[in-house]
Amino acid sequence: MQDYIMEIKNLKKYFKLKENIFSKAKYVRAVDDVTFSVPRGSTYAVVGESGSGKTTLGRTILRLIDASAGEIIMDNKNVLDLSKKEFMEYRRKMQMVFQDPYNSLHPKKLVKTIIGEGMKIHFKGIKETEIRKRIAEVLNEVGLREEHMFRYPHEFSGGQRQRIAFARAIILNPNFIVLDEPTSALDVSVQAMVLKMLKDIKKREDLSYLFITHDLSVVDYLADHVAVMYLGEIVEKGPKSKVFNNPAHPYTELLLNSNPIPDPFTDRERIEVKGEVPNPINPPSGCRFHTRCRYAENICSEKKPEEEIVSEEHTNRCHFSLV
Amino acid sequence: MEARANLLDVSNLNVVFYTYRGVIKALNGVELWMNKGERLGVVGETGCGKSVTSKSVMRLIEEPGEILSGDIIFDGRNLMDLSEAEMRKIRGNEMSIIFQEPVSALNPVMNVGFQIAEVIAKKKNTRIKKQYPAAAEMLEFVGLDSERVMKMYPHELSGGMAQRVMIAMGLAPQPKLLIADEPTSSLDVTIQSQILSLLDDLVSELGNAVMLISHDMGVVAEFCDKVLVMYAGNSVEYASVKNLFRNPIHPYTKGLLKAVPRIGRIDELKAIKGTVPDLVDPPLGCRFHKRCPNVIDICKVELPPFEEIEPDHYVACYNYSSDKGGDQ
Repeated sequence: MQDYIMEIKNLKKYFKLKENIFSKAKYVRAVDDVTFSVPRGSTYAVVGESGSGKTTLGRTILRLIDASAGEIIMDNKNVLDLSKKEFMEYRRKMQMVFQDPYNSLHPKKLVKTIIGEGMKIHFKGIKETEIRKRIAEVLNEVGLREEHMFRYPHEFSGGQRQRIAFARAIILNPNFIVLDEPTSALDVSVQAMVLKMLKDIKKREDLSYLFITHDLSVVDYLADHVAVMYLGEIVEKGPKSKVFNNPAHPYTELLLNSNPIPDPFTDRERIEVKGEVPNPINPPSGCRFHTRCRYAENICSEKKPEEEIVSEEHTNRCHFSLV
Repeated sequence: MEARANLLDVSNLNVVFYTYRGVIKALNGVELWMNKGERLGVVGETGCGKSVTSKSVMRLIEEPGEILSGDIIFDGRNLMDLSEAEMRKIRGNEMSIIFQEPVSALNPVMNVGFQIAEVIAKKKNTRIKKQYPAAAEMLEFVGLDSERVMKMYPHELSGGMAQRVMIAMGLAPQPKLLIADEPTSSLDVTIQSQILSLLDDLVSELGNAVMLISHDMGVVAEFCDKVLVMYAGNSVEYASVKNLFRNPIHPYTKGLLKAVPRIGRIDELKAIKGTVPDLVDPPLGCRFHKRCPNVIDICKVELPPFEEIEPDHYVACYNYSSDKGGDQ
């Protein structure tokens, strides 16, 4: 049987909108009935456009925001049921790296304070010298130098800051890290370095990643599995090679096709893109993608497609699966 | 000097910004040229000066920035010799610009119809009210429902719609040159695809030249005829798109192309070592020499000239023939 570091079952996160006495409360279903499992030691990518709920998903998994319903199973326990005290241990095991390294590091704290803070919380009474030793270790690991710990975030470039954010994430020896668009704010040459670092450290430290991104070419470089999200739902998921080579959902096909190819010699047949992402407050009926889908027929707006198995581990939600 | 192209010829452009940290030497002798109807992609990373170049061409550099020297020959006139009043007649008329953040580039308190009509009225020298039908026509031209969108305000538009409105405003005066500064960078990939194919269709129909500023090699490869690669305020390589992607010569271009991830070619990803220099105190000589695998002594002291090394392929490098480009 496959060993999963984390299993997410029917996870929901609804945000309540302002209600007044004349109207019923409305909800934005940011994450709507999402189910997937992250195999131990793998990188699981969640891709989607803005408003797809991918960032909310990452934050809900780490309990940075409370889930509305569902289960997150780690070590045979539902992480969502744990009390604050019991959850502390999982807080150590699950870490996060945010998109914008210019906002995610405290500007007035030294790098050593930023990175070492978690050690002080999780190992009460630990000696300063031990913390320093560990900080030096993780700084080396992410490709920075020991003396960098006595500097402030503004003294670093974007790529270096993202390394600091990553050092902060790995200092407590976690086994699961949520990476929320970790390279979107970086230039390509720097992005290449950070991606390589992420890949190397994952191998060395035996980590598992949940990699949230909109960039499919980065997914291809880093991920083993992919889930494609659209308006809060996973429309297709499976091993990367299967999803990329044989996309079953029209939305996946569209995403792959929209990605510009950095090669003037390949002439791709561009699929015409219909419309824009609908407002998540009022998602379309039936299949949420039907308003933009080129294969849509009447049934798509009437009946929500069930999740179907395309092949082993590869599932799809579409009435007119492409595979 | 004879112009290298018949629409735009920028030579030896130097732009600085005065800040508390010191003088930022943002552009250091930029060379750039375009023919009528051509699509030039200007690529480079953050801080390479691609946006400053586009703004300089429109003479939109404001305090604390200053164009120190250079010639900007546009359609037979040197824009550097023109007064501000004369420049105003050219901007939004013979050349126009669309920006990365379309919503913030529009006037928030005027509706869309007025803003487009204003541009056309200025060009035709008529009253704004008279141009509402023409504005509606422009909106239809960029694929929007004019009846609805004319009365909308910028905050009611989605990113993709706002960029269509910007394109309508940019193309309304039928400029000879449209500058598009990262026009799709803030948009989702499916919307980016829509906007690019729209721009492609419209420009093919109108036949104006486009300068596309972008950090995305994919966008440039698909949209442009020619590419200029910039690094730290210098033009480092210029060629046709096909030539540049197949036969990159400058070590920076080689490195850049290898750093771009691409679906289906995952093992070749290579980073460029080091970081972009601080332009308050840029390195002497070639600004890339500290990161360059081909560096020789002269690179450290003298800026390499931007020379044509094969027909229509320009490179600023002393040691391009050495074949170590970007492999690190």
